Amino acid sequence: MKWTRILIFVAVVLTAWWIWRRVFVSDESWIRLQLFSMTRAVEQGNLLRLAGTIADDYSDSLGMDKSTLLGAVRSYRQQHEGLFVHLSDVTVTVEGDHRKAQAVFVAKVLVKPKGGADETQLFSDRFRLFFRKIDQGWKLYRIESPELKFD
Amino acid sequence: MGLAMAAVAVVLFCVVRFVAMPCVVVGESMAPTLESWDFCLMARVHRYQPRRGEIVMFRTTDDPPLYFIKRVIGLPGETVAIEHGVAKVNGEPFDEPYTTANLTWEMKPVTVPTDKVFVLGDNRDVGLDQTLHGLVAIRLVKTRMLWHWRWKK
Repeated sequence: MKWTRILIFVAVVLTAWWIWRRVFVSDESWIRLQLFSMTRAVEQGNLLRLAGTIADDYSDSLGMDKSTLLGAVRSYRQQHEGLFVHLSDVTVTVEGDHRKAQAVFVAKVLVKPKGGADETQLFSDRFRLFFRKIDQGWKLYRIESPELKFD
Repeated sequence: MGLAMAAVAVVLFCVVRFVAMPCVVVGESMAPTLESWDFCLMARVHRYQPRRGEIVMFRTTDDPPLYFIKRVIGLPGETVAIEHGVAKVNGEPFDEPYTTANLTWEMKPVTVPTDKVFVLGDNRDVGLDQTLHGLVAIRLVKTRMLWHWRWKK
């Protein structure tokens, strides 16, 4: 009887915690989920889902806008039959007004080019992504690849 | 049995944390010496004593850091230059049997500060501006290569 009560108590606590997390998701968690969603969209070549996570006024240091970026992802995806992206050391910083945020991480990318070449390629780079809250959701509006510092 | 496994885990942790760590090479900048997927055993260094020709792994100062493997070419106080693909240290050609010179590589003399080393990749097939090279703070050098193994032919 005692153990049944303990089990029920634990179940109630876990359920309450799960509901709390579902209802009151922090901005940081939203952005982490958004990063995860974007990563999966790039891996699967799901441009529709990826487009939904990018702000219309997206721009970056390479001079790409939203449509150019999506075109580049599609082109890259078409040239590779296998693509796996792993994000590590993800740090999310939300600004005080909860309207803007940055995510910095190291992306490790494993790709297998289409046709002939059976050699998989692996490379990694660090990125800084800028997000802005639009219509209660977080959207990407800029990507930077920070300069490397060795001193 | 459990105690033995715990002891092995502790010893392994201490070895990886303080003595030597395994790593897998990413990228072709050290080819032909090291290629992508090569397995390396790197010795941890507390205060790195630079030695020319040694392959080292260093980090960037940013957070999160990126790690790179390169070869030490210039030591503190020396002047490094590249003329017609040939690396020169203090004006003298530096023998590099592990690579072939790329005649297009040119770099004006750079004096290495006392707290830095000059590093360069072995892969000279790419343009000099396309490969990471230059001065790195000695304190950022975390490991030096002991041994490597190419498992993927």
